[in-house]
Amino acid sequence: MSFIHLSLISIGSLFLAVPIALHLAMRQKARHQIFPALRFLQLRQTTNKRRLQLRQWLLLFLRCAAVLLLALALARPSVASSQLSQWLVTGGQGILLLVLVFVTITAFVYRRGWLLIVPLFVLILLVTGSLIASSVAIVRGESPVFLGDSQAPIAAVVLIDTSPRMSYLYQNQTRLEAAKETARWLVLQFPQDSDVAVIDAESNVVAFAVDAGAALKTVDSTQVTFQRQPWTQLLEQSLELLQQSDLPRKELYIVSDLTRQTWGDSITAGFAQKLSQAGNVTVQLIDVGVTEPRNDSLNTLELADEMLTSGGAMNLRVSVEREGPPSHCTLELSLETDEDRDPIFVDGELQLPETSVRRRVELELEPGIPASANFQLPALPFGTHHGYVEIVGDDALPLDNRKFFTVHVRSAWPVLIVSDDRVTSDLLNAVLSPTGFAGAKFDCKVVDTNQLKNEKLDNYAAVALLDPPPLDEFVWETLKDYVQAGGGLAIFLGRNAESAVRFNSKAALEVMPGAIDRQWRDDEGLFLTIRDFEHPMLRIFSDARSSIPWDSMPIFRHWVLGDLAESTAVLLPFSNNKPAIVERLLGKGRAIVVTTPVSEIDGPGRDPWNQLLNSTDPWPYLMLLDRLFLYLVQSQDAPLNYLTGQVAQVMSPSTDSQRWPLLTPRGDWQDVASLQGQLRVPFTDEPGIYRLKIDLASETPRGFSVNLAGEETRLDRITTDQLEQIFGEDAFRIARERSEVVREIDQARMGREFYPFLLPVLALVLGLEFILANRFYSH
Amino acid sequence: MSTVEKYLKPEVARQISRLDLRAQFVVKGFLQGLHASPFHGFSVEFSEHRKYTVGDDPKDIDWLVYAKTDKYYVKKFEAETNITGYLAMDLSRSMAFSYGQELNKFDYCICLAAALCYLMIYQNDPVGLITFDTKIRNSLPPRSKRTQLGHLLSHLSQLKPEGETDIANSLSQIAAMMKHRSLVMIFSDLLADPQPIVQALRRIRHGGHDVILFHVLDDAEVRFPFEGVVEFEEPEASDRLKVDATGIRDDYLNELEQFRQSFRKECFQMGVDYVPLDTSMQFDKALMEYLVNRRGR
Repeated sequence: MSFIHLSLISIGSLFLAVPIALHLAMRQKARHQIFPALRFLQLRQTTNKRRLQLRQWLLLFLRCAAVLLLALALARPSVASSQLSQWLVTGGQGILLLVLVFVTITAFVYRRGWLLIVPLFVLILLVTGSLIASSVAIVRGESPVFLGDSQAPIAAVVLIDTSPRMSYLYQNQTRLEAAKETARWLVLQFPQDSDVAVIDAESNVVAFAVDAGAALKTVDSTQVTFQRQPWTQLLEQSLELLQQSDLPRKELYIVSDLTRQTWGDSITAGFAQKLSQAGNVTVQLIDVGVTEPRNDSLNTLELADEMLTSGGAMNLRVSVEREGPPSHCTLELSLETDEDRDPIFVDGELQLPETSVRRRVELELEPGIPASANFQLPALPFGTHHGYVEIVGDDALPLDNRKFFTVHVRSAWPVLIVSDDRVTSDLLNAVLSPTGFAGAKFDCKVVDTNQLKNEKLDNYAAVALLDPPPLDEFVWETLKDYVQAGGGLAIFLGRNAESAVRFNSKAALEVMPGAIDRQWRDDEGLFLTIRDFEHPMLRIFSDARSSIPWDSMPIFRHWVLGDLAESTAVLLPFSNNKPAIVERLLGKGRAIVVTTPVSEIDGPGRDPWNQLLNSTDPWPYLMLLDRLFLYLVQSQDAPLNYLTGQVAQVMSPSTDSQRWPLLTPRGDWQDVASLQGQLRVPFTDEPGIYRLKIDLASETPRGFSVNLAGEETRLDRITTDQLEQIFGEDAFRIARERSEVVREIDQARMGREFYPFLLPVLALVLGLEFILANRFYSH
Repeated sequence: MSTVEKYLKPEVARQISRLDLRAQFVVKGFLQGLHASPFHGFSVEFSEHRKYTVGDDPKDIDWLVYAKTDKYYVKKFEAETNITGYLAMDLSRSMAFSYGQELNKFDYCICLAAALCYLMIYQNDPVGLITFDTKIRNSLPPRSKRTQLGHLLSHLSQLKPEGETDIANSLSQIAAMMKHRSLVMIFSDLLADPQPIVQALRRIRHGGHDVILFHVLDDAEVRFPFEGVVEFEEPEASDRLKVDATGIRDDYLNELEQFRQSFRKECFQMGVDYVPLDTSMQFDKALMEYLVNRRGR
């Protein structure tokens, strides 16, 4: 508790002498009266004297209480708002206790009987106990927040939310503009000589500004940040900064739209405990958000393949969600038309390649229910293609109305299929390189096992060994060198492996993920089971995970591998939990073993090892083989589409350490160094298209796209309960209007005054005194 | 008001006279009803005739009327009382107390005494006066002459209530003093221990005397109109007491009521007429009311 005019308390205490003096002086002022029937009075003298004294004491008490209350009210005591109720309860208990004590003494003096006095006494004990308990609670929970002069210098941190959601347009003002305006007003409101810091997600150094002008400049330079804000970290940094200040009053102002996306991670971060330990920091939230937002949002953009081969079709799917009433929207897919041109500067202005709308789709949107649309563009020419899908028209949050994409069309990957006359390569060849299909991703060449040593493997992106027999060590070593240099090797084990002892040569074990151990037979038939849908090779199955007919493709025999080597992972098991597809990383490349073949020749007396490609509905295995070889050729190791904040790793045009210019969506040129055949771009905080300036004839992609994650623009708001979890109960205030902010600040600085509560009590005491005095001293 | 007339106002005398006439016969009326008269005899004063009815004494038949009218009429006579009355006045200082009333208790008692004195002398009853404080201070022997009223009133007008009091002792002296059966009319505020007074009254009654006890209090003593803190002083003993008058009023009135009740009860048992009065009551009305009540018994 603090007082604005503390001196009035001591002065008021001096004035206590007045009623006491009056009391003593008035005692002698009894009227004299001759009265013969005194004998009747004498009989009741003792009782009456006690009553008289009681009344005099009561009057004295009321007069002293009136003086004290007046002094107390004028001294204007105040407490922290969070403690007001506790103080009121304690005050109420105090008054109740006084009344009970008075009633009990009266009952005693007027001899009202123990039946009344005993319960009253018990009641007094109870109220006294309760009063002591609540007084102790107040003393223990006494807020160290400094209360008093509202114009004393303060240490203040203004934390501004700069999330993409703050670019929501409302009343012709983005939320960030509103936040900046409020922050500017706040900084100007702070008392002179205050320590002020303005912090946002892009603040590198968290420190107090030199003066208010510097703080205002920081406010003005604040802009939307696309990378995910470390909000809890910002809160903690703000708190630490405030604690560094020597000024007694510390205030944290947070200007935010209060969306769950910003605050969600802080709920369980334990900030409340730190704030409680800091003790003397008041937190003021200023809500600049919109309670009922309306927004159409392009949540996701998914490309079936971002690395296409010549003649291949680009398949793309977007998902749209609406906040607000149902409506329809139009989606347009635009693609840059002159791909073979770099951005150029004309008269100092950057000119990007022109785009044209290639597809348009209408969608009906229901609030909260995502709708999706598919786009297909056939036979894109060689090269890198940038484009975007956008919602036509404006809405309050334009940021999430456009999603960018980049695809690269290249020639088919050369694959060497190695087989001999006991097996057929036709099936795999047909899967990887269908005859007559323009968009085949792979260009397959089939050679006999014996000819393998004659092939220059560096010319191939991948090599597939179909049911290999035991190979010479020399061949294995060649294969090992090939894989370590970045090649992809697929080994489909079959009946030709014959003897495990012969097959598991030392050189073979350098390449194989594990030694072959024995054959597993199951006449009932096993089937493949996908456990990890997040693996790049298997991700494509995640949407249809419950409807894939694996059981229609039984496997009757497979090889069981022994102990697996290092850097080995089981990508896919059979239903008996034995490995079906096992990967071993060797140098820059991968060796993958499939423990059941794809190359069996049907014939009488030959029990098939599996029906993976012979079943009536073999599409899952076809898709799996396609993905397996794409994985082998590492087509997905350098994605072309990223989310903001992710580190982009693009294939470098050369293996040399060379720097390449990169044009960011903001129009800046940045140099990116090539390292081990890759370009690493960490500054992907701006959504848009990043363009590499490289040779137009290069096979490598000439840029990539960056998009905001769909959830980054979700506008649903955090609840008060969740805010209480973050800051603690009664540890913060929320305001929307400036008048509210002023009131809340005043309350926080001055606390809640008792003045309005003391005045009625004073009036009551004066009224009681008047009534009793009139009654006792009337003539 | 020191003159006799002050106490015996013409209208008061007229009141009592009218009462007398209306009551038809005072002796038969109230005074005779108060005590068993030791004297028997015939009245010399003719009152009225009425028709003879069966049961009347034939010797009362007025033969002269029979001679004139040939009808039997009975002669009626007024009986004459032979009661000696004593007016016993309390002279204690407390009797001089008055609080906002025209008459103090003593004056009020004189008025009562005067009226009764007039009434008795009007009936040819001898009336005497005894004044007392701690003991009997003065006395006028009973006379039934008309001049007795003058003497008595002039004597009363010279008295001043200023002594201490011992009512019990004084009443005991009165009891010892009276030889014949008499009617003793006591005027006092009785502000003393009740038990000795009751004892003294018993002694009077034991002597065969009739007693009327006029208990006269001031209006303020009956109503206790004081408010706030008041320091009360007892006029005789000069005791002082500071009390909260408002708070003690109920207690005081209870005590007073108990006091009066105890006298009422004792007097009833002794056969003494107890007449509680206060100075706010009009004494003539109060007296008449009492006399009428007595007559009704």
